Amino acid sequence: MNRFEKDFRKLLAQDQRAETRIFRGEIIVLVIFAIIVLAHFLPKS
Amino acid sequence: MTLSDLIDVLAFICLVFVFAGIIPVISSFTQYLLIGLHGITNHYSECKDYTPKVSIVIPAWDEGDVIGASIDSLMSLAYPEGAWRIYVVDDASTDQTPDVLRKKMLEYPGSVFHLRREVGGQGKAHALNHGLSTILADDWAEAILIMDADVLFEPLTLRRMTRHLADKSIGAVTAYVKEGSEPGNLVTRFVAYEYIAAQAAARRAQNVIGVLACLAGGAQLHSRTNLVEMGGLIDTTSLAEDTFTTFKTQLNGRRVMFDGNAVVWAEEPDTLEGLWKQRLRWARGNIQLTVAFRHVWFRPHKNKRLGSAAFGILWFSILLMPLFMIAASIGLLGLHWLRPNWEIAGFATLWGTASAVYVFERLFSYVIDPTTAARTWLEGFLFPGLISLVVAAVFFLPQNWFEFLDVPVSIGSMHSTWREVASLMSYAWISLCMVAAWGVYALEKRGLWPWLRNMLLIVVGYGPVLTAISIAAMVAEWKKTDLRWDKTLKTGRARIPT
Repeated sequence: MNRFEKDFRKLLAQDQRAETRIFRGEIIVLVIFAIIVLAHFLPKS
Repeated sequence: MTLSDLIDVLAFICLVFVFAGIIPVISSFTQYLLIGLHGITNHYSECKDYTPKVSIVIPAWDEGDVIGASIDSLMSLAYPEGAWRIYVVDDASTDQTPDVLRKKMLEYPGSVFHLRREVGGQGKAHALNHGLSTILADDWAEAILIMDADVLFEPLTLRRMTRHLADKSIGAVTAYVKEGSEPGNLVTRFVAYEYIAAQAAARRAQNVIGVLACLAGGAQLHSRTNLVEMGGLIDTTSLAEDTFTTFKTQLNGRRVMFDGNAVVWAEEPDTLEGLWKQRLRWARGNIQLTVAFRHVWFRPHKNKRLGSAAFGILWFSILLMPLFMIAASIGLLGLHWLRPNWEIAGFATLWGTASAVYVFERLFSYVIDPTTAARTWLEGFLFPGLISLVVAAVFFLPQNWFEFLDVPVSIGSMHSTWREVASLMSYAWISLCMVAAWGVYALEKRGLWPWLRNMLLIVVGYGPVLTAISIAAMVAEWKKTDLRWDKTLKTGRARIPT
């Protein structure tokens, strides 16, 4: 495996991690969002 | 039909109008929901270490202030030695562009080429075609990168783009164009925030549904085969040559890809006048394209992806957004007089949905592009304008806080309360914000101080400026106003952050 091939794999893994981070982040944001929406609509005691 | 039946029918039409106002909001939210899936279904698994010989074509019409820095950034690319060449199409420039190019040719011999057009100013597409005819005349180039003269490439951006072309079904790849003005101002920071939504978010979602609306004109890489299949020419009949190229590529059966990790930096307008000129060109181009490709929309049997309902709804919800906003205003005002009990439900649905999506998108922007979102947090917050934010806030606050508004007021022969007047104003503001946005632009054009322009822009909002431009584009297309190529002035403010 030459230097360019190694760099390529490293870069691809790094970019895939960035996309996975967005996926995880979306789930967290959706949970926060759902809590905000539920808190607004749930009947207050 | 009795009067009561007529009122029922009119009230129903008004309710439909109110729900029309929700279409762009739901469409935007759905798009954001798709983004996460890009972490699972992206094109990286099909990428290979592919570094084709790339010819870079840069149209330059009086770009002496920016072209030197762009060439320097391209010469710093992390790409195999000698595998890229830069062709600058000097579109009969009358500034120092030819001198800068002569200097760069001496500095980078064999890598930079100066193609001079003696008759210029016809538009970017004509200049590009001049460059493409030279590049495609010999068989050296395996891929062609089309970019703008002010765009600065990060060292790894070209490698991030070319890896997608290893998959021969991909015709073209585009990068994430980020606003890079140093120092920036309120307008450039609004643009920077807007690009998170319009590029980093929207184009990832479009990757997921398998169809891209637009290859960024500032950074689009094509396989040679793709350009040859298009006849080796860029469309010159419209103001949106990049979107035409995107559609033609996909209609030819090739896919188009956005790589959000391939980043370039560009200088965007720092005044409303500059922004208006640039966006009017884009918006008119999009209307022209919508008409030119009228046989494609909502016809999945003709083109599975471009003709899909999902893409059609995404496209038209942006293109027709100002009309949806006007419909919502008319609907709410109509319901106020025809069916007050429906009015509250309509208003609550519209503003409740818009406010919820606003919160979701602001939070999510920190995940999609944390550095830009942090830099532009205030502009992201103020994007719809202070007046709209106040209306939203009032909607969520306990209504008994506003009992002080329940005092009578007489306007001419009409008797009402301040609460009712405020309600009617908030319904009308959904449309009037566009008039106000046009007013801020018109005042700036007449020499309004930048600080006052900023104050008014914060009150009215940047979003309404964009929708006002869409209306102006519709009017210009309807009146068939002259198709002039209004170049956006670039001064060399953009920097790649270190």
